[in-house]
Amino acid sequence: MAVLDELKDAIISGNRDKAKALTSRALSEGLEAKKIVVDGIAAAMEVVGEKFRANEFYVPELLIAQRAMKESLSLMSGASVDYIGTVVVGTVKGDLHDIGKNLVAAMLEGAGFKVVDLGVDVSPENFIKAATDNSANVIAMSALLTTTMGSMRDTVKALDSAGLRGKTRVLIGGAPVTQSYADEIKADGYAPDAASAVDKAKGLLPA
Amino acid sequence: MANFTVIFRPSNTSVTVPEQVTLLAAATAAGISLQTPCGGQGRCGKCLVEVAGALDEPTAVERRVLTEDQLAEGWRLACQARIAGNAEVTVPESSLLAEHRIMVEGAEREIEVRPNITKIALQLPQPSAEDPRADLDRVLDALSSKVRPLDRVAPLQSLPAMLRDSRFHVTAVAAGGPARRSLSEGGELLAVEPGDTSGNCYGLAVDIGTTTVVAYLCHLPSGKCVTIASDLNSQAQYGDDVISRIQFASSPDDGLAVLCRAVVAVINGLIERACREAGVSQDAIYELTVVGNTCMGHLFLGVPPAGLGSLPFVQVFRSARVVRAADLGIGVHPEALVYLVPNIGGFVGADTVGVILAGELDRSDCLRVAVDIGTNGEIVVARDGELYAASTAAGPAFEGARISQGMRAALGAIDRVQIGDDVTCHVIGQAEPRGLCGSGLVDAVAELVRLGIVTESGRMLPRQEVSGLPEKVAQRLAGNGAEVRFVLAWPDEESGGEGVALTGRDVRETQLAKAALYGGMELLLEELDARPDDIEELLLAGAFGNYIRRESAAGIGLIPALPAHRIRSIGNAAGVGARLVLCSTEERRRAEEIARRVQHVDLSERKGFYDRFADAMMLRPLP
Repeated sequence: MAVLDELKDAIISGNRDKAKALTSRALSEGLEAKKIVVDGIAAAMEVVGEKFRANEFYVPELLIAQRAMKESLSLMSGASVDYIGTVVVGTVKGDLHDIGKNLVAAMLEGAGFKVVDLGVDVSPENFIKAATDNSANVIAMSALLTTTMGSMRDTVKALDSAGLRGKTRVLIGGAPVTQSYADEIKADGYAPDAASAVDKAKGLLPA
Repeated sequence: MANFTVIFRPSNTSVTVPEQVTLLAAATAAGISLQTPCGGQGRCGKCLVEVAGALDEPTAVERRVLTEDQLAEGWRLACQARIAGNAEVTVPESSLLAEHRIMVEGAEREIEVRPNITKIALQLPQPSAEDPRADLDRVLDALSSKVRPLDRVAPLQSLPAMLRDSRFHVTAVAAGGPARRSLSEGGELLAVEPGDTSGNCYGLAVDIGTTTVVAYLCHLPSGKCVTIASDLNSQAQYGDDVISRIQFASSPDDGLAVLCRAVVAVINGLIERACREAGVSQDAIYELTVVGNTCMGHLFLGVPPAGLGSLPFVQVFRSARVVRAADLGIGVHPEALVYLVPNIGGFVGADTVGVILAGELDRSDCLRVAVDIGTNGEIVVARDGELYAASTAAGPAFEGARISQGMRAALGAIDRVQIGDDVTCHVIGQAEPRGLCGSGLVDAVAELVRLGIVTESGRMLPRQEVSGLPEKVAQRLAGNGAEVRFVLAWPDEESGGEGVALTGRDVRETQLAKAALYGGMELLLEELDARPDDIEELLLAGAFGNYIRRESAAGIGLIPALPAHRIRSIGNAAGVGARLVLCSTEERRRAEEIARRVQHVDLSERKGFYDRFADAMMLRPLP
């Protein structure tokens, strides 16, 4: 589909206006939102992720691609889309850094997940409530301050107490976070960046 | 528990330590200072040492940083490796914490000298049947009825003998009043000295930086700075940024006391050195005025900074504090006072008040902006008496950390880079280049962007994707994908120098740091409905501000691209502020007023930060 290939390119290069115009055209040509998301947006974010892993793209390119993606998605809100899973995303209690978290949310959205973004300073209780309310498959937590990482441990414990661990998995990330910390607090996964977060999240979905 | 001997080369020092102690602890015991910007957590890889001997197996943390080849050759991280037997450790120069070049001069301005401390010589009438007044009253009456008497016991204990031995010819030392015979309301008598010592009156202005501490010894009646001494803030071994120090302060092993003692020890060292150089006795110093960011101020007083470690970033104190030097263990006169300049809010502290005072931003009618391009990246915008300040927490990239061969501005640091037919680097001390400091980093990135080796979006291109480069320059570009690097200084076979290179990752770190600073500045300017090109004068404060090449900084969008006459380096303005406050009670009042008036802005709460940060990442002149 020519228009979807063009849309894919527009998102990869971060061209907001073009992405919006092409999405609009695709919709008026009768294409289903579902198809636009998969062949236009998800395909674009897949390429973005690859280029990120290859060190061609970095935070600036991810940010502008994400903005273009948002423009495209905004024209399709309300349309029915088959999500591959639901993820609750947030920065832990006491912490206010959200740029990394926003990138992860964008990449997840681009990959076809339903994303519930709780913002920053999110308490364990709020993570769990949102996970329950949305029947989330994954809780993805971010922290940038070593002083706030402990809240991740608290959230895992609270999830255990609520008996939700089978249903909802925990994925963590952020500059001071490590695989060994994830192992220590018995999180289900750790991802060092937005691109690998998508892979990990997919891996945490029920088979 | 068994004890083992560890020998350090090339210094040939040896220590005996119990087993299981880390190599880092052994090095410290041997008097060897290793670089530990990450505070010993095994993240930065700077404490690399080569070991022959019995150690515990490499930890998972070490395996993340070191390759199999490195481990096979005996390289270990000193902060992680633990002694299991006798060992011989070779410390490469690149792992040592070296002597430091620091900004000590400051932009000067003139004031009327009216210090808080005054010494007044008195010839008191001797006691007699007609005048049997108490010794203390005799002294106070000669000053003013409004002066509060001594409230410490020790000076009273020495008073009678001193008065009589000096035949009642003494000097009263008082705090709080203009330099006149009678002291105004609120004065306090600190001490009495024999004879006329009124000329021997000194104060110390101190700037406690996260990285460097600078002290100015000033003669108080004249206001003259007689000598300046500076040193690295030794708290750095527990973490190179405020967050890691806050974390350390909350750790169970008395971290707060360790940090407090460390900075007091540095200050005492500076006092000794300054006094020796100036030929002044340490007990001639009766007051210290101190500036530093909020965290530094809290740690200096031994006050727990934990509140600053997470939302909503609550300080324990904000207002000016006056404490006794003796309570902090500072080596000046036992009755000396310490005045801490007030903080503004959040992490933005007394040092920023000092900058505003020194640059007179509180009285600026045109739009002026002051930036401290350091770890905390404080910015102040001012116009017509309106003042806003924020901390951008840019990160320590400009001070050497998180850059693969980054280092502070010390011997061996490349601090200037120019590229023509080949690369020309200037190295501090003309020594073998061993790393890159902030000003060199900015130059290097700017030159590589100019030549098209680094794209504006921050990607370092592999050689096959760049054309038109002079041959000698093209040869320096090596590697592909994640491994791309540009060699600034070739390894030297003869001297064994490893050479210095800038990696693609280093460029990304620089982008992040400068985007935070520039984006933060744009957001803060919005409070005054202004944009970067509206700035009448941009003041660059701090050590880094003086050495950075403005063209390079503007070229990569670290600072706005303003005409040269609108950019001025004001050196260590925070230190100048501390001196102003020491030498003039009027300036002290002004500083307190400034601290109350400046509006602290929490940039992270601002909606636009995300977008601004993203746009500001571009490596090109901005706006």
